[in-house]
Amino acid sequence: MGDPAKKDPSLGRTLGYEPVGELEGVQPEILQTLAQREHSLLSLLELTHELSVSLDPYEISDLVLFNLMGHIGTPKAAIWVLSKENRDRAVLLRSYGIVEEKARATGAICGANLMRIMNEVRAPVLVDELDELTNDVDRMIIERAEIGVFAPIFSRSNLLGYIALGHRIGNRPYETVDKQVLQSSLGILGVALENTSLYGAMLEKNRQLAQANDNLIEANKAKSEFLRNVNHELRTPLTIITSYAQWLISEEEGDGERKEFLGTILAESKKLNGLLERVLDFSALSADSLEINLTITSIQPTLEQFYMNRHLGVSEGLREFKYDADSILPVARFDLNRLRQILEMFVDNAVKFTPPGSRIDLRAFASEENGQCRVVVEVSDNGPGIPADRMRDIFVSFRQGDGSTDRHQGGMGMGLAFARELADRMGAEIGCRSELGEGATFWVSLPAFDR
Amino acid sequence: MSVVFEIHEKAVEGAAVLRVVGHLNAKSTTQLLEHCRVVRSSKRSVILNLSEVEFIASSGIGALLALTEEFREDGLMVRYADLSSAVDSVLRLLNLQEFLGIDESVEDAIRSIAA
Repeated sequence: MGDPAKKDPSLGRTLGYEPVGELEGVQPEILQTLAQREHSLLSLLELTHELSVSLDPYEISDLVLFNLMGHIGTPKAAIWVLSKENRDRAVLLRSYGIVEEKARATGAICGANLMRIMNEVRAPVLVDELDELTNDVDRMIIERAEIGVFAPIFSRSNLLGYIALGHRIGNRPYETVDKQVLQSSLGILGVALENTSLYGAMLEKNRQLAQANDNLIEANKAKSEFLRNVNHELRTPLTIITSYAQWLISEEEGDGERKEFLGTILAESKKLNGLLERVLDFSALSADSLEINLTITSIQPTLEQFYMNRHLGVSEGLREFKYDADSILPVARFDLNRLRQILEMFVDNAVKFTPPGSRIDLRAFASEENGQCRVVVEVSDNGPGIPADRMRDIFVSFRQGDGSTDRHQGGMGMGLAFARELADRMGAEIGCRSELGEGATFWVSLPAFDR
Repeated sequence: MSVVFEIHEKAVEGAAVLRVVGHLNAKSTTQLLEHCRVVRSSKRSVILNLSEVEFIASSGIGALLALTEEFREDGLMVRYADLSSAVDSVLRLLNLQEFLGIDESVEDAIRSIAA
């Protein structure tokens, strides 16, 4: 076996470092110390080199623990990292030579205390130095785990975790230089762990963004296709039908059955035309060019007019339609036409999803939210209601309350999305509540002002 | 430059003799530990023939220390035999020979385990 003072030349050369040769006339003890210092330096170089190739926190922990164990000369080491979900909890990542149960107990029982100490001292702390800082239980657990030193892992002043090393082989004490090497190593570890965390978070965020982007592209494609269909396939023939129906009515003499049928054709064509107008409005909303004219005025005339216009049409479909409003309501800020459009959609929706014989109520009342005066307008029905799991998407474009995008209930599932956009543009709030089998209530809450 | 790292296993009474070839650094350490874990799970001691280890890094030394401690916990032994000069000089420098249990040859290591 070789001379203890002789260094291993391959240790330096592998790292591209040329070790100093033997120094003539220097005492063996000094050479030994020099060789140990050189070994410390090489350990740090080696650690820097190794940590640059991994982004896995477990691999990084292994590298650091083995490096420090080899450098310090201890068969025991463990590392705890603070949980992202709970910064008061340290999670054991790795334990070597310390029985895992003992390492876990150290983290679970002494963790909070140790983190407080680490944050205060911000440097390696020998277990002997901990005596004044910890209680009897902590000391007993740490002693059983045969730990010699704790050291914090910091990155940009944030405590990320801490490591523990066992007693040094041969009962050699931890010297100042060991603590300094330990602190430097853990500084490198802190940066490596932070990089790992940032890189992982960035990958996850990129994945989410890519997913969201795909969804947007898909939704946009569906919308464009839909609008194109509406424009080309519906609008042109509808205009022709409406024009011819009008012409035929004007040419028809008397009030016979034929004129009545033509009247129905014209009315239905106009209804379809209204629907197309909404589609175009929706398109304008997407392009951010929809006009909103806000006025502060009494809401009753608008509601009464709306009720008058819709009452008979709804009743004709065998749904009872009622209107009720507080006798005195504060003035509200809204766009008359846009509010009417929202209520149209609420009532259309109620008619669509209730069977004949149902009841639909239009109500208006004053309310107060967070000290703010509001006027709330509601449309309620006693239909089948909306399943709880569908409520989330109720105001999303092209979704109906039954979660489908098909047409079995008619409509395109865009009315409520449009209503929400209009409400947003008016500075109003919109929502719905429902219980399965108990009907649904759609409401719009307008900013109001006491006279 | 990539250095070949190999582990050749030979079974003897109650132990596995692992001839380790190449550099014992952070990368190869994991491989060695995995191999030794299999031996440990079969309740056998292990003899590491390190005559062909050309370089041992600090992480390699740390792994040897962890191995020794873990085998001891299970009442098993790790013996290090026929050390190359590269390994020998570092272990001497760090005063780890006594803790690790070093034998001049594999045959001596087999005898140490049998005793």
